[in-house]
Amino acid sequence: MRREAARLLFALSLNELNKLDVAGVDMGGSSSGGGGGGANPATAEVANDLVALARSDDPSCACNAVGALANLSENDATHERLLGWGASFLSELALENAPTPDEGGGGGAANKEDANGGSPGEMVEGGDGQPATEGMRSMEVGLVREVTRCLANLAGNYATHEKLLDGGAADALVGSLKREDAVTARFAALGLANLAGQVGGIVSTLHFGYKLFVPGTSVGGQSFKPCSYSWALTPWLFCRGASNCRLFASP
Amino acid sequence: MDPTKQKTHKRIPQVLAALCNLSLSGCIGQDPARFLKAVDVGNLVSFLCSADVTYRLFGAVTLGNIASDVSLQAPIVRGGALTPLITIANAADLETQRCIAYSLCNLSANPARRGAIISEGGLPSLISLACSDHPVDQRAALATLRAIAADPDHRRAVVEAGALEAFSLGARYASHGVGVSACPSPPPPPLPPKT
Repeated sequence: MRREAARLLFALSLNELNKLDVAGVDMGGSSSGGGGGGANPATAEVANDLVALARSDDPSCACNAVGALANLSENDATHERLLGWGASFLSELALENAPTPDEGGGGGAANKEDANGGSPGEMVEGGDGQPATEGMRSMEVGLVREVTRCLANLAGNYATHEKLLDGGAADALVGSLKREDAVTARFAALGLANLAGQVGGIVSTLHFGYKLFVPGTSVGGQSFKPCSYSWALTPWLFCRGASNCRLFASP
Repeated sequence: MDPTKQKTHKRIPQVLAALCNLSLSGCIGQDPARFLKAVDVGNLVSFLCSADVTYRLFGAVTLGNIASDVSLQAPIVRGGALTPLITIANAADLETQRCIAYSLCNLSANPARRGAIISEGGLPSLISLACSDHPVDQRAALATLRAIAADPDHRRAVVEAGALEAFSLGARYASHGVGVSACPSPPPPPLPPKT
């Protein structure tokens, strides 16, 4: 039942107007519930239920719920509400699934998603003899991907940087950067780039990711050439799409 | 047998009851074309639109069960059952509403038909089913709404119909399974001392 509910909300959250409704943002752009004043009871309930599903022990449930949050985060009007719900748990989710040094980057299997907003949390089932563990690994990859996508989108808003960094987003993004899944790593790179795009955030970002960004610093014996920050200073880079990594700069 | 040709109205409820039982027992599936030919969707729709609550319920149950067979859905829609189903759902008793909602769930299995169901106003029935107290009904309706929401053109309409409430109810569902555990066998009694 909860899986169906999570899948439903993931699909509904792909619509731009629905994003505002789910997040409790009125059409004027101000938040009308949850983290701010004048709470709307209906949308506050949806928020609580969505966060509860995202924290679920069921991987499919959590994956779809986090995917829905990531969809909401594509619209910056929802960011204040998302962070009001306690988005620091997203960082915790990413860090919980971070690979150990022995495991490397974790599973690399891409999730199967259809063109019409197929949910990221579909189990890869074994009609062809595929073992159940492959499905679970794919689910973990999907979950971390969606968490990273959400954090990267939230990082595209300068107003959220302080809360994100306080919630451990930089640590989580650096962890995601090390994943074998190329899409997750790309989302993480974008998120870190967004964080570094604000002057005040560079120091914090460098504190966590100095081995990656400071020119000349060796990582694993390799030296990095000085990187150009021109691309990193472009704000409002959003990670869109559940199945591919299309980037859109807001107008 | 055409129920509308019965000379006495007293037989009509019995005929309808027989139709319902046939549909429930799966007899329709054995020879669906013959069943539809004998019954005629138009007659079922006329009973669905009847002022009599019993007739309406029987009509809804039979149409719903016929619609559970994907191969029989086209004749139902061609017979003009869709609009009456949705219209009656707004003014019927709870059980009839439930049967009609299940009919819409079955008819929504065809993606080409979902737009018509939405434009005719079928979403409130599905939302009501998704907000019911029965977990099986809830899950069936949530799955149907999810299938409808797969089409980008329908997502906004689904939310405007009240799907967020259905989502919340489904998200909070807690299954209360009954655990069964075997009592451990008692230890064997001590052997009596040998005399």
